[in-house]
Amino acid sequence: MLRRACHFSSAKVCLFALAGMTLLSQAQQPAKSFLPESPGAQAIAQAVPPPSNVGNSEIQFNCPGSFPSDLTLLNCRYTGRQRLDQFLTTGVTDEAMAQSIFGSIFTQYATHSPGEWPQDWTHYGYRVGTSYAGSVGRASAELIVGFILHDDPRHIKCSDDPQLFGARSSSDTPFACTKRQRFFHALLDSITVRPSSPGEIVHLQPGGPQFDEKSFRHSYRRLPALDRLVGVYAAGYAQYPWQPRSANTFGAISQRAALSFGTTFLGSFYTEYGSAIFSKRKKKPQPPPSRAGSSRSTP
Amino acid sequence: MKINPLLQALSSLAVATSLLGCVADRPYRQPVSALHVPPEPGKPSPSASLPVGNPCTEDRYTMTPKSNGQGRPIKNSSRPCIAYVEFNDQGKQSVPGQLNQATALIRKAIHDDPQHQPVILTFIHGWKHNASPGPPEDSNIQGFEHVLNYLYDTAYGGSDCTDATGPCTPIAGHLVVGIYIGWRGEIISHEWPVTRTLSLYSRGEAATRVGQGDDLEKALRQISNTAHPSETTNSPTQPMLVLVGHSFGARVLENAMNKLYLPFFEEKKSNQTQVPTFFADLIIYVNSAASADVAVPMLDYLARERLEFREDLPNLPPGNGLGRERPLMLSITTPADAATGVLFPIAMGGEAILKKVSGSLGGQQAISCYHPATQTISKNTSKSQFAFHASTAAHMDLIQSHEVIDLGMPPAAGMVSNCPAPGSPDSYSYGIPSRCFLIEPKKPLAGEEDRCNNTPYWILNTDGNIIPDHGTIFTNRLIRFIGEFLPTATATQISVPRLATKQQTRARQLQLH
Repeated sequence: MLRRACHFSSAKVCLFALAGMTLLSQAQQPAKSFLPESPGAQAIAQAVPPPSNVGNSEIQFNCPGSFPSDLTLLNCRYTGRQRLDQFLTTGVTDEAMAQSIFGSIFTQYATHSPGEWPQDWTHYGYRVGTSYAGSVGRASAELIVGFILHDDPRHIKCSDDPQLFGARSSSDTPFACTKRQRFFHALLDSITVRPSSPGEIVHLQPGGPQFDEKSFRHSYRRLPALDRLVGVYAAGYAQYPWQPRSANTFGAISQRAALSFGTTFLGSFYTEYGSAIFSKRKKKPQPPPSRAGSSRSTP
Repeated sequence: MKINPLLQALSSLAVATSLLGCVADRPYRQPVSALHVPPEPGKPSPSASLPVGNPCTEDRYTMTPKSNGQGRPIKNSSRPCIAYVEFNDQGKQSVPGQLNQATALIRKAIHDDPQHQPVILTFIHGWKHNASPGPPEDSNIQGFEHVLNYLYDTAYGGSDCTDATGPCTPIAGHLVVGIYIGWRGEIISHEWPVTRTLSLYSRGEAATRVGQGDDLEKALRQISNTAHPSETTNSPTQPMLVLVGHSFGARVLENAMNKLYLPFFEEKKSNQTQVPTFFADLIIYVNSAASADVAVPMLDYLARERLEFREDLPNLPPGNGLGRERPLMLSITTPADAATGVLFPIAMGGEAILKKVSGSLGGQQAISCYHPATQTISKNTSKSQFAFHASTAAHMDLIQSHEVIDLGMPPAAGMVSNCPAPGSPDSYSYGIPSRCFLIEPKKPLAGEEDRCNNTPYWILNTDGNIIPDHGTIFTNRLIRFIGEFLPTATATQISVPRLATKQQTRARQLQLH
């Protein structure tokens, strides 16, 4: 899951707990948009004429959420290795441990749940242990169900969603979203996933003879997030052996599952709005008056 | 106090498994595997590394038929090669033989290139990366490979269609060589994201140590001497050497440059002539995670010496140095880089507070500003040492030299080359399919008459459409953007900008008129 977490940003977010673990776990997808790109543009050899396709109106669709012209993307598939990494980072290793350790302080002193457990070190240990067991249970269930269903659980921004391709366009993105659409997209994205089968990078040419918008949208269709549903309940039931009887009823487990789902929900909203929150605003200089001439000057 | 057995077991498990997350302090590329041919785009890697004797070091490329390409080497016969040079935590070279292999690779590329002008790209990775061949190979190496392949395929290959009457002819182009400089940027594996994050300060210190170390200085000097040997200093053609550092890699590179370049300038100054830099054609810091105070010695020196860097004006004898202004060093970032824009000040601010309390940081930071119009140098003390320590250079308004202006319009007819022409000879225009940008000298800050940074060390904050975040740097858009600032290259020649004082240039301009 944390494909991009190796980068500086997510790490520092984590260090200073600016947005807690949610930020870290959601940072694997950079904030990117689909923009048209010319594939064969000149790099250094300015005097060498560009290939004939430079500057045409082709839209290079890399992958949902990816930056156009990213040279490192050869495939959009959510791979088995990525799924395993997500399992390890969110369910087994230090992120899960930290969540359990700090989350248990909250459950011990703020919510005092389960009520049968007193607020002492021994039961703090139980709380940490059961919470960690829940993390492992949830991550394991998501790994197995996701593997069976071949889904792609990565969150994407509204403006990156292939489902909205062609629905509304502006000068800088064909996937432009309104405020309302963004909010509902974040909501929807938390309970749905996409199939991971559309692996190849698609080069789009809207209106072109080879482009079929319908089949394109279908290949990125939304599916119910069964892995998340099973995962949150697995987290609840994984704690079953240690929890007191009153906390092991279906209602209580559903309550814990709903709470556990909160991290997914926050993650989806962070994906939608996070880049705007954590990007430094650039002071926009006044553009100079438009100048005559239509070609790039090369002295 | 009695500890819960469950808690005890969990603690033991945590400690035991944490140890599994440690990344060994060892070199990844022994001499026999220090050369590597990146896979061609879209094809699987034949192997992580190839032994010596591969196409990187053997004369194996074939020539095109005379009728088709005038006897140039056939594309794909000499794909880009990478040499690795690794440094340990103390800044010492891990495997001495690696540097010799790297220089041998450069020499061979110079020899094999039809115009003896290969493109030599040197990259220093940042935090959480190293030279690991994997599997999976470090993602920075993969990105670097893609860039080398891209340069080879699109900038230095393709078809030459300048002859409108005849068919396009293939251009063999220049050879492309990569030098990947590895250091111990990763000490905890990615499966341990929280612990890994805690290595921030330790890796920052390591980056500074490597950058200030004698071994890196020696390595960069040797790479530069091989790429730009002194006998070619007056040649209008020479290989193109570009040094790039990303994030903490930029901190490594910037520290090394402070150590290397200042004596180099002094040496050149004694010549009293316009000379090509021949150390490197461009030094680039991308999303640098170095404090702005690291840039101060270089900016101070360049301002005090009134140095500038200009291309030749065509139709005049080579070496005139009267053409467009170019950067010698380029520090670029983006407002979308939350890591260096928002979080770096928080991280370094904490450190700066400790330094301030201990008394090692305080007062205002003086920086020299050169004003070409009046030919005067002033000292700017408007920012504190604290501010310089807690910000990166590219995010600091005071020392930015240029600004990227979003014209807010798509290129005419969708052609990125059809963006409006820049208004002055020292401005640049840049286009992506949905946007046109102008890159112009920065306007003075409020209350100032002139920008402070008029040096060939260009510092600019770009745009989220050019660099989308901290880590996504291996993109077509960024390569093209950087390409704007590189010396003009043709299939047969790379022009060499000249370093001179502004007075020298002005005198030559007057002479010309």
